[in-house]
Amino acid sequence: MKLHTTLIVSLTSLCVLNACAARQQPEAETQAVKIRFNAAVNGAPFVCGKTYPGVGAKASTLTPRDFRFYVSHVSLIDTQGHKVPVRLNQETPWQHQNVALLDFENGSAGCEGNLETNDVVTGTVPAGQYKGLRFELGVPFELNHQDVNRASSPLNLTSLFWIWRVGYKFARLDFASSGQPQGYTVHLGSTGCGESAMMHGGGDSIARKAPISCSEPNRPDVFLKDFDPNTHHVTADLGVLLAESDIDLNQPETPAGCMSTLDDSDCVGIFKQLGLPFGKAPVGPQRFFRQDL
Amino acid sequence: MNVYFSKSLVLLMSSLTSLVALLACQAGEAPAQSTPLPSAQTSAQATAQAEAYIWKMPEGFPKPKIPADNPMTIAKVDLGRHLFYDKRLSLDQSQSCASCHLQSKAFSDGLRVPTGVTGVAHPRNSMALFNLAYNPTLTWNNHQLTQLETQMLLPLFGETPPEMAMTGLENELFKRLREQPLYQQKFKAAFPQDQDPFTLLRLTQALASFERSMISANSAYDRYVYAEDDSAISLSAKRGEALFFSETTECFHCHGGFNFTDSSSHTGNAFTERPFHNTGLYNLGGTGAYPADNTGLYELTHLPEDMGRFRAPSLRNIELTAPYMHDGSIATLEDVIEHYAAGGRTIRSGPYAGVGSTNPYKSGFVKGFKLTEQEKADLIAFLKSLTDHSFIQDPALSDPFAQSLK
Ligand code: HEC
Ligand code: HEC
Repeated sequence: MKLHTTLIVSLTSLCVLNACAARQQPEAETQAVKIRFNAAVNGAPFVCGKTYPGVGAKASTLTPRDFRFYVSHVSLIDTQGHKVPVRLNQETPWQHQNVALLDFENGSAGCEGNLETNDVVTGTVPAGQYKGLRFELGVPFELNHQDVNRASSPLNLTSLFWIWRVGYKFARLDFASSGQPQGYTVHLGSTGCGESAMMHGGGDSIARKAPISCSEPNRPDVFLKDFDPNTHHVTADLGVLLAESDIDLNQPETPAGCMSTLDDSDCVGIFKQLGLPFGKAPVGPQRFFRQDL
Repeated sequence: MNVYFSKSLVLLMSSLTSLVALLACQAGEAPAQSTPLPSAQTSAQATAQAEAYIWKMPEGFPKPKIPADNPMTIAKVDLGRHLFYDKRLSLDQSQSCASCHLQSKAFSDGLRVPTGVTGVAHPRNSMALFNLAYNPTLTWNNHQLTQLETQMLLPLFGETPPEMAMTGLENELFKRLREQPLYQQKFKAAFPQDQDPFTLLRLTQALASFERSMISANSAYDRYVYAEDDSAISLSAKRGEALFFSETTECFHCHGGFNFTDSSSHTGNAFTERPFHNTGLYNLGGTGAYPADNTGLYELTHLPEDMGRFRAPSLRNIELTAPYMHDGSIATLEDVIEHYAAGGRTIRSGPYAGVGSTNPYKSGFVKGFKLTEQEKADLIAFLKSLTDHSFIQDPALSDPFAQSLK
């Protein structure tokens, strides 16, 4: 009888081990995905220190300063057309929860920022066949109004804080142009955020409230229908973004460029290319991102 | 039989356990995506044990609300005071917070609008700093900035406009501070529980603690009210007080309460109001518009009725903080009274021409009034009784670097 008990115990523990191993082996059920991004100016690779002629409605010359943006809610589309969320790797400083930072400036040759760059989003999806990509440009609402003094990477970069708007700059696309040598900035972020405030880790209850909602969330929804992560990459093209804007001019009494303000006519063309509503302008498809081989 | 029985028992047991194991594993596997807490290590308890801070204010003056995660300590206030006066906090090390916030002017700067280290002018007037812990919102027109810990990120790292212009240079900033033995000692003293206290969280907590220590509650009027010293203010000021709190001028509606602003919160009130008002300073082209770079609360909410609405500042120390209004566009207290007496300002020519008194978004309390010259002088005498001379001379708020040179 004693022998039997031992047998039972050892057999059961074996089963336990087996069962768990089977359930926890991610390779068996999930596959790694790597979504590669490129930054470009009218098709030419974005490089700090280069100048790009023929940009915008008035064919201005552009010199880069910054090219960073957050993406979130990244999903692949399966063969049935279902959206399947990519679970982002959490071990990298470029990703936190469901948001990732893409960074194409290297802090040199006229670019602001820092040396480190990042051109991929990495994660896992259930094993299977996929044929499309969908994501949002921006920091999700749940993270956008957090207490930045307690935020973790990549949401702890002061150049991407947007304190006045109590959130983050979803995109920081800065450059100088022939007509605006001091700089032309394109900062995308949520505006018109209602009564109440930025969240604070341990503040009193009043200060803890996040905005109920923002009248202009400004998170472009990007859908690349035939995207295959194995063969395609996503191109973010500054030239296309600015195609309808005169980047040599700035509306007086507004910051140079477009800071997502509804009263700033410099935003009209940019929002159009992002597929975002702007005042009463009709909304079309976003064009800033495309898929390339 | 015995063996057979045992075998089946083993099988039964094993299938049962694997079932349990499976369930257990599934439970363990269930979305490990539970929101991780912010990485920063807080230890409010540990900090609270540090030397307690004693408020300097008269009996009866309300106590401010302090964030639970940043209790006041002497060591934090001391560190914050050094940071406030330290030019290392700006890009080219040419400006500190105190460059735009001078103690002699109740921590305002006497300029219409200030210029940051990159030479760009701010659209708004540098605010006086005192009794900050009572302000439910910060800055002239932002309704969402409620914490000093976050507001200061604007002058430090903001870009529109750049002020201290450290945008993206947080690592450089901490490198500068770390190199100073003074800060090695003071950061450790303020945050003894931290492995590495040179973080944004700790820097902002220390600065905010110093800011909260800037209490101004010792004006002649405070001595009149709280110490019941009837001789503390002049007869003229007493007549001015009556006018200030009258339905004639309506001043008290927006500048009432212990801090002379309707925008205040303290431990005694559960609900905080965040009022913003249009006082008819502008009316561009008769549309109600304010200049494009200073549209007030409207800039943030896009609601038409918020055009030109700004926070009513405290009128304590108002004698010291000229020029006045969000854009420093009124030079003297006499002119401020004229603005209110006219029920709004009229600008006859130029890009800002317009009749402010007919601004459609103007508050109903700015309706205009007629005062004699004596009454105007009385009102101003009252406003001047709100000056706290001990505040602007308080050594605890003064430049610690200037002192160490002596
Ligand atoms: C270049 C000048 C300048 C510098 C430097 C500066 N400030 Fe200010 N400060 C201002 C202006 C202008 C405002 C009003 C801002 C607004 O309304 O947008 C202000 C407002 C404030 C307020 C809001 C007060 C209230 O009652 O709402 C606080 C607090 C403050 N500053 C603290 C600081 C601290 C702390 C520093 C240093 C980290 C600092 N300031 C550096 C110009 C400056
Ligand atoms: C409807 C509310 C309201 C009433 C009534 C009112 N004020 Fe004000 N006050 C404000 C607001 C809001 C501001 C800031 C306006 C701006 O900058 O556009 C202000 C600004 C001021 C300032 C300048 C403060 C500074 O720091 O620059 C003074 C001085 C002042 N008021 C005095 C008075 C006096 C005296 C009266 C009565 C005659 C009065 N106010 C009535 C709301 C009011």
